[in-house]
Amino acid sequence: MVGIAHSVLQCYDALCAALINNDGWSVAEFVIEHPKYRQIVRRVQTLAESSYGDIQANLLDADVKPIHLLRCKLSFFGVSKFDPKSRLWVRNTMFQGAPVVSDIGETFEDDWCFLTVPVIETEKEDCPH
Amino acid sequence: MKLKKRIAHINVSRNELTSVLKRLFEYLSDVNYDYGVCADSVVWLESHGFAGISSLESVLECLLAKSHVPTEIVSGESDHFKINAGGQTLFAIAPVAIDLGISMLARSTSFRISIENATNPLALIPGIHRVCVLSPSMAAWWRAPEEPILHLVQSGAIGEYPQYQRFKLGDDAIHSGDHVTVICSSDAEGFGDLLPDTTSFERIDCVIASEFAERHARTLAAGIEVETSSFEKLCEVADRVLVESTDISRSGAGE
Repeated sequence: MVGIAHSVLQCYDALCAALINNDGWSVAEFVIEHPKYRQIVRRVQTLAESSYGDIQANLLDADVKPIHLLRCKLSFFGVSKFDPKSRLWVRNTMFQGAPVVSDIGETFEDDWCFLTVPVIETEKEDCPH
Repeated sequence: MKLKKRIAHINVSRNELTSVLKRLFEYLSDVNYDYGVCADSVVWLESHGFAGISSLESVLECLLAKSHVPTEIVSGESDHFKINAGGQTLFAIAPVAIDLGISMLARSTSFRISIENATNPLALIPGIHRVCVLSPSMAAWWRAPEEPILHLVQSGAIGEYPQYQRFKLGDDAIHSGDHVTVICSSDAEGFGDLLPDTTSFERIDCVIASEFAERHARTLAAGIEVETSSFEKLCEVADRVLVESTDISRSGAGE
């Protein structure tokens, strides 16, 4: 399901229209007569309270690229530094600054998970991603 | 001497079959159904010893025609709903009917749903298994349209598989063959007198929870055996959901 926002809007419009003649219907009664909305209803019921439960973008927009979603997903995995190589792939760094084997037993600042300010050596071409 | 024609089979994994069926139902329904659940129901049947694919094939031409009538609530009382499925498959309708049954338990301790004009009643078995993880007790029964056989499936302990039975009806059986009945109850003691009286019927088949579990374990290890021609047909329909490969369709797709 790609057009989440579109599906939610369609479901909302159908629900409003159905309630005109069926005031007091439960969601289940609505879905019995409109089974096509079961999937999006389940998504809304499951994720409505989760701010990061869904991508907050119009994925049907021609300017949205899969790499946008890839960067988002990678950030959940711990990627904090992105180096886009094109609109099709991105090089990234994970767990930069994390203690390595030689650090075990040594004293170190336990704040490696926070981003460090990048040092930009040369001016690079602006990248929108 | 006449040689018996051998039917070729192919062994597929659950994931492979699920993937094909999701695409197939997405194409068939134009996203009119929860196609993921439809696919899971067919795979569930196949992986538990039931003929899920044959059941789907029996209505495939009808589904391809996409000429079904919308589901309609014919009558709705506080403890009993009648639904006209418009000739649709219960692979699509069973999940919403079961959702309805569970939700209506908020208003009543027991609830009955009569579904008329629906196909593929076997799809109720995986649907009931899915709700077995919840507390409501659920059961469904139906009569096979072309034979005097009553099918009965009922949930057992929470988290366990349901029990499935078949009974041979007598010649004077009056149970109608044109509808499916689903009941659910919040009573932990069971269904009481909500279930049909089967004492005078001959039980010809019974699959208990442990046997379902064994069948599933065997399928996970050995895969699912499908007739090659059937699988090829399913793949052909499933592939219709794919778009043509063009510069536009490939753009941004990670090429």
